[in-house]
Amino acid sequence: MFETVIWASDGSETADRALPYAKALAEGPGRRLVAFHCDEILIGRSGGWPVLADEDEVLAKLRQQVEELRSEGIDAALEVATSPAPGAAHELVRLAGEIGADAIVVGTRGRSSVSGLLLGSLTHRLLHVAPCPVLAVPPRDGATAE
Amino acid sequence: MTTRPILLATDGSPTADGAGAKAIELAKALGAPLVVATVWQVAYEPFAIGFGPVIPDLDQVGHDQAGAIAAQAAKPAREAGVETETVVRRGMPAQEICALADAFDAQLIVLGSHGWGLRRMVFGSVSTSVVHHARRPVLVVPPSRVDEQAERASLRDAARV
Repeated sequence: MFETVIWASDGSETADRALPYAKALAEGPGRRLVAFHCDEILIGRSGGWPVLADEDEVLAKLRQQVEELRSEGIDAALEVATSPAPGAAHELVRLAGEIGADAIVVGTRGRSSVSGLLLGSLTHRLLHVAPCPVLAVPPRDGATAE
Repeated sequence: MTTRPILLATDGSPTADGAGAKAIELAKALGAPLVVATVWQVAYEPFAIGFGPVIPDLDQVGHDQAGAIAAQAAKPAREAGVETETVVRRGMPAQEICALADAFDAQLIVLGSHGWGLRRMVFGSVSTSVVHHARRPVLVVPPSRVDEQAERASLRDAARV
């Protein structure tokens, strides 16, 4: 069903919240979990700087998370793309097409490059252009039974 | 403790059928029951009823049509051995879907990225709203190319009427 799963992360806690779901979808032999991060670069007069000021730390964190996944026996890899902001959604879709992803898992309301949208701009755009199912994980599961 | 159900929202469109297939696979994998919901409202495609012959009980027709759609979507789930129940609601789709998810305490909502509209039209409005408002994981399933062709064909047929 979901053999190749992409987990998109911007290093935020919301993205981390989505990781267990990505792992659940990518369980079992032959399954592959690809962590994806897009380093969005500001263009224009303030051009050249990453949107996320702690971009280096985000990448280090993601590398570590991928290592932890691999140590758990999951076939995990990290893919990093660079794009002028706000190109993350399209880079993600491009990757999904290239590797034949069966699902994309994202946390909603992360640290998107366009502020002010309650629904993260990445998720919003992604829903419109994704070639495969997208699992959107909210910051908190509103379970009424808990 | 019983497993929290998966909520599948369907409007009977080919895209929704694709979402249904994913929901069934997930329900089997997770050992979860499935709740199949169809939300309808007057003048909401595909329940729009033209001003032809007067229909005496519009509410009942809408309700029955929605029930038929939900039952149709539930069939493959039951055939796959998934514990399935159907539910029909009248109202704004995104709101009703979120309310149902809360009522059933669904662990996951599954729906198509868009229903009967083509990508160019007001699209993804229900799926986007549900992702925005539901404080639960939502799986949004895009149409396959086959689905898109089927939807265009059905719109052409509807236009010929």
